[in-house]
Amino acid sequence: MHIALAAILCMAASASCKASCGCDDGCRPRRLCEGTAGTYSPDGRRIAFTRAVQGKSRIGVMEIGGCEKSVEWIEKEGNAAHPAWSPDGQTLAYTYGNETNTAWAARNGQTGYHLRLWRKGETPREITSGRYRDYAPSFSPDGSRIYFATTRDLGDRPVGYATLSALWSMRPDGSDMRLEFCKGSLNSGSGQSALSRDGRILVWAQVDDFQSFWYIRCARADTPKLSGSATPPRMAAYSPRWTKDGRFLVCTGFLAGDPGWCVYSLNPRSGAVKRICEGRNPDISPDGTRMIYDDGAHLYERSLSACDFPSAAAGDATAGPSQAFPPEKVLFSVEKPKYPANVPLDGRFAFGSDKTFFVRARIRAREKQPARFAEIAMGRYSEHSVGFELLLDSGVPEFGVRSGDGTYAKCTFDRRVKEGEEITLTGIRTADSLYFSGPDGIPASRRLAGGTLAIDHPKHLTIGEPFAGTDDILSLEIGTGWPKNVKHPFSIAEVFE
Amino acid sequence: MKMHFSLAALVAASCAASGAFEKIAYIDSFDYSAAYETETVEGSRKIVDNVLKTGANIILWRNQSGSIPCYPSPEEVLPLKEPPLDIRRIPLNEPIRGWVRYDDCWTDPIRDAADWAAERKVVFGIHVTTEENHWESWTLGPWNLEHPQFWCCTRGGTPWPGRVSLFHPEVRDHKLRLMEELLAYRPKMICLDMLRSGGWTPAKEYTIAVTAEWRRRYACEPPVDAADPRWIELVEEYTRAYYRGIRERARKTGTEMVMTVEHWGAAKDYNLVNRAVDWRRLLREDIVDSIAIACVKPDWNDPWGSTERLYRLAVSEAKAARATAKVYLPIMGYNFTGRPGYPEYAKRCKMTQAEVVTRLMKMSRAVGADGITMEVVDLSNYSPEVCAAIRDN
Repeated sequence: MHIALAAILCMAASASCKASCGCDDGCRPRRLCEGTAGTYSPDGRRIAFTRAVQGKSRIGVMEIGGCEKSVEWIEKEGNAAHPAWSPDGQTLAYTYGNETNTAWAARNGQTGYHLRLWRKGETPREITSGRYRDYAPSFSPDGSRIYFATTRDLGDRPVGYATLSALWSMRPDGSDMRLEFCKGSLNSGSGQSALSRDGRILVWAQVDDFQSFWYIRCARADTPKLSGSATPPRMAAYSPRWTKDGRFLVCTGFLAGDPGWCVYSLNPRSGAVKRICEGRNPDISPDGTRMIYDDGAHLYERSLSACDFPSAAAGDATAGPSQAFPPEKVLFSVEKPKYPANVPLDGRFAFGSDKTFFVRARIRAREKQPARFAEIAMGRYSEHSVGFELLLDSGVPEFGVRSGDGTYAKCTFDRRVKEGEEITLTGIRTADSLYFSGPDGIPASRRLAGGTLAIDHPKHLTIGEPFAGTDDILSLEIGTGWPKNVKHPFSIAEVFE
Repeated sequence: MKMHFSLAALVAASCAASGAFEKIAYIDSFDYSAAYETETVEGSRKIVDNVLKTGANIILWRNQSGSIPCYPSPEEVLPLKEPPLDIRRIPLNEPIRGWVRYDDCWTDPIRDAADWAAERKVVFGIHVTTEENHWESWTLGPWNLEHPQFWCCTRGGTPWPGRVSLFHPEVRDHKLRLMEELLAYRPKMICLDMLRSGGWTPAKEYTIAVTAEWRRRYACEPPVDAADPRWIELVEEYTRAYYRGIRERARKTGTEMVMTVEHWGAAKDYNLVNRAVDWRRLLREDIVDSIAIACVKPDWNDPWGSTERLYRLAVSEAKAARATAKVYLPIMGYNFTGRPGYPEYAKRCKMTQAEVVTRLMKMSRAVGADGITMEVVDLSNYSPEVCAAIRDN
């Protein structure tokens, strides 16, 4: 019966689709030109796109339906990519780099990938500088700021030179540059941001660490650290773009079983997704009726209709912090413990796969760590010898647990501890995420794909290995529920309130 | 170019004919990028000359960083690899290392190294890592990023982009095309490195396709434990199909196939469980010619006795599997992710590193090995004293 109903709905949707887009054959795409990553101008009449030409990346601008000869090329040399229109359609922001030296010869120079602004008839203007990569720009809806991904100014973050990108913003004249969000750990990346049309909600693509892939997070624009995942746990997704009404996102996505990268629509409030077609890098026309995307080689345009988006009831809950957490209940507490020590757990700390638990320690950082890995606390279980751990890795605090399939997942503090610094570190595991908080009480977070490992058979707790003494670990607490010293992350519902 | 091929062939023939004890050095040009201008002909020559200080008579040049080729590869062209053009690749932000482009520089580093090796009268080979990442996201290659449908997968059903699964014929064909690109350089030797896996193990093979194949064969759900012998057997089967494909291509160019494996003695077969590689079978079935033991795990209560026993065991097992097999034993200049190199021996045995290396060199000859391998030789990780010990023994 369900199949029959679905068929009827699909036929109805197809009819509606035909009526809305006016195609004789539904929403069949038409090829526009060779190129990728197309984006509509605000008036919907032009597109900017990227094309690989003789090993270089070029940005072209053309009228929709225009011919190849009408393409206007933005730069003649070097690599240009990631075009983004200003809201008034007069300016195009993009990343540009032209490395003409070897890396060794250019080591002390200022070349890099910088953001440029192009206006028709004018010479492109560079608005960033330095030996960095600034890329993937997007304008705020009022045009007052440009958000972008960058490798710049990592400061005292854990890894001075690393595979790492962060999300920054600035005014279009290049002033008032500021960090919006940095996941901070090695192999993490944040970028491809998009503000909702009312400017309230920021979405971006994020990679938590090496073992994971891009997915989409969303937060209130003024508190990006309190973000949640907008994509289902096992979905890879990037390049989010808002629909005109702000109800949905479209993005590039992949779920196991897909034939390749696909264009998905996504309801960030519910996490419901719907696959629209094979392809990637979608953008929706300003009137919301059409979509451009590419297949890695060519740009296509097709009509959109209601059937391309998930229904209100479709999909399951997201991996975002949607659940209410019980208040903290301390199960184990020790002041100035002697260590190294092994504490039998005797049935304590049976956290299962869904109980929220935390490990909180107050430590005083040594002048010099005795080893790269300095364990503060490690919970050893029958399921795995490292069920959870709170540690310093080369002076950078980390909280790690096993995820549901036994792989190790960690959340890393966004800086090294300073010599002699006394600091409270709190790691939290929920059913689907990890959080890690320092003194400001605002937790960094990452999702745990596939849930968390059932930790039901505790054996013992290792404290302070390989330290010896009582000076470094001032207190240690382990408990369930949400710890009172850490700010509660917004639920997805709260983000959209 | 033809003349260089001939010269390389002469060098190789002379080395083989003399039955010289082979001293093989692995080279990763990326490691020299902060010291030399490695994107130039001169840079590659300096690297080779530095490595030859060790007394190496065979050099094996690394083919890729993760799956980013270190040469202009027609197979790995689009999307453009230079960060940040492909927004899926997170840039490495180091001033030098984060900006090198061996695939798109002013020269072909592998060709330059091969030519200079011929000038220096040493055998040139290529060190092929089986990993597709080098534990960093920027090292994922274009083909990987373009084909998520072939990504590996954890048991929980989460796609794992660290590698594409060899189960798929499309993946094997892609990797064999890459191998054809390398064989076009006419290397005397191709070394398939099982040490570097980028986090891949058979536990990452729970893809929809592989689990479907399991269900077809065994009419039950796949095992929870990826070390299950039947699961290993399944993964080993299609992994071996790929290596067989390499062999067929290498035979045409007369290239010797060496595989780097680990030998843990009586413990479970590490290579089989963690790499789905049955090296004894590969020797028996004429898929590889020779074995390079990457490292052994000595009993520190009897480091020299246990090392010698493991060396003898490795040699005897390899020769039993294939009488003509060559066996190379490790002179490892550093501890590699928990695997002890000669510095660990020196520390535990209270000897100088040169004394340890001298003893390991003599032991390698005594147990009947055909040569030794030097784990990646960087600018200065093999000290002058150690180099002298390798040269003189």
